[in-house]
Amino acid sequence: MILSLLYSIYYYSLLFIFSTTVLLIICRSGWGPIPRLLLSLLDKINGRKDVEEEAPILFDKKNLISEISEDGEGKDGEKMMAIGLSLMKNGIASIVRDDMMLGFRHPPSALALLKSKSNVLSKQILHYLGLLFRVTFLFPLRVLLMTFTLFFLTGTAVIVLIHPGLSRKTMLYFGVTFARLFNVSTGLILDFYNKEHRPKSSGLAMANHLTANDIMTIYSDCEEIGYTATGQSHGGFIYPLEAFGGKLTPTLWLDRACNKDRASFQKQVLDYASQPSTYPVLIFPEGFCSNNQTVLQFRKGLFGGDVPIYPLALKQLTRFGDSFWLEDTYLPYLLRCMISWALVIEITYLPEMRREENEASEVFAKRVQNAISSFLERPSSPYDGALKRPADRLLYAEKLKRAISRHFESQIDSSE
Amino acid sequence: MQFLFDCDCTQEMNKSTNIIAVNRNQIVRLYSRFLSLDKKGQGFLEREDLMNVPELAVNPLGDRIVDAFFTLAGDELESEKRLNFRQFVRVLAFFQPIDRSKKNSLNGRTDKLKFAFIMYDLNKNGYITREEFKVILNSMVGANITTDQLDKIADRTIEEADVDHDGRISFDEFCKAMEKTDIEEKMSIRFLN
Repeated sequence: MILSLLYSIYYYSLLFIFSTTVLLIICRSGWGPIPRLLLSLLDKINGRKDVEEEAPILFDKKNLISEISEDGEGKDGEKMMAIGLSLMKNGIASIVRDDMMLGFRHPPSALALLKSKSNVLSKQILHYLGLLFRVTFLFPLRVLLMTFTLFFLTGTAVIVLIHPGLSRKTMLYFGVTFARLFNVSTGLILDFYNKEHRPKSSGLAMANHLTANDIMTIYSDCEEIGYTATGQSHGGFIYPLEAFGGKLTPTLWLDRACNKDRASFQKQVLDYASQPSTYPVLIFPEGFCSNNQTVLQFRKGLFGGDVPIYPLALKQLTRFGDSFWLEDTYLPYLLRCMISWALVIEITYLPEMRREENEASEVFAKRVQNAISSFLERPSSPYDGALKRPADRLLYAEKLKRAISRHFESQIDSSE
Repeated sequence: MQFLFDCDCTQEMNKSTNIIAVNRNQIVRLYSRFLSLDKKGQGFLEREDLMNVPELAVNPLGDRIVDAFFTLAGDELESEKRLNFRQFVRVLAFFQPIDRSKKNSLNGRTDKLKFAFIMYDLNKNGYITREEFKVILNSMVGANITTDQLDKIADRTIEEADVDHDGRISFDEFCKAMEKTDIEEKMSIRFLN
């Protein structure tokens, strides 16, 4: 008897929350402050707070090749000593903060969600009760929501295909509603700040890259205008999301494999962004997902134009869930997101930036990178994200040795 | 809020207690860094813990830097095998910008040069020889320079600094050779304040 009663409570509350959530979103509304209140309740029960002490230590650091680049003056002995000192300085600095892999590891709080770290029995019990609740209630709820989201996506994509003359407003409604439904299915709790700087016309919107779902995260705040997406063809689960999502909002496609196309693609994007009637193009200049502990070096490709740039800073609070995509494939990542308490992200719109006259694209790229990193109070990485791969690090080591040996080359030739 | 981090620094000439004032917030973050380097959770660091830092593994002088770090953590005659947090901070404090108001501070010019010297002095006999320079230079440039050219560069380096012509560089000769170098800029990292 009790069991069937419990089951009914479970079943009906699941259904109730699911349908209310869907209705609220379709009617452009939401749960309001309730999710945040629940989170602060959770904080009180667990007695936890966000651990800023684990944040990386802030100080300026150059990458290794830049560090030795100015040591090429003077006699051989002086050069060798200068290079040695530069390498030493960088070495000590990397003991304090390693910038090559800083962006690619899970914070301890993410791991703590799966296994209790406490030795205290009461805290352990609380942890596993929480885990039980997440797996038996939150997870099925989110799976229901995700299923509905996929139906919604397919349905609206079909409508768009059948009625090519739909108004911009309707398309935007479809896009935003899909984004919000998707967000709630992955357990996202979002807040947007400084909305006065939200992009109002064409240009390039640039954000730091946390997750594969960033575009849905950012899109959910659109009111008058949406974003133009840039797609890279992924396989698996992401494929339908991209293929159909690409119908709901203008999309520019880039095939990751075609490196030759990169320059022409960049030109295409810049031309597109300078037309006044287009939606701002949403770009992630880091090129890789990073864990919010640093902002990876921005790729300078799209910084050479004269279009306005709208920086967005994404910050996450990791104690309820970590949305950094570390897994090799998408589904295990999605699974981990869905069984966490929530993914809490704060997005701040930063003031518009433009390239100055005669400013080099690398310099401008660094300037925008610094704008976002200083807002997030995180180091601005001097390294490209590709160095997360061991093979690329080996190549970098060789490149460094070549750069060092070039300092001695002139002396060698003159002495022969 | 500031608190004073007290440490004993036994140097050959100067047995005095040196104090560095550090910001509490930064000490907490340094401790957090120490814990993340201590992957096995032993409460101390070993050489391979530091060698595993990716950026240090790519640095051609990475192993020399780690060696010098552990050497200076103990007394300079016998290097340590394990580093506790206090020793960790003490060595890092050497790289603080020089505080001109304190005469016996940990991060004076001589101390910074000491670290560099230990880095080059492979067998820790107090002298840097031609052979030791060759080894260091070789790790810096790899196969990009031939052995002959390497020898020439090492020879020239020794000649420039070897004042008493004994074929090797003592610590005094090293300091003299570095006179023109802006140690402050080259060897200071502003992370403790």
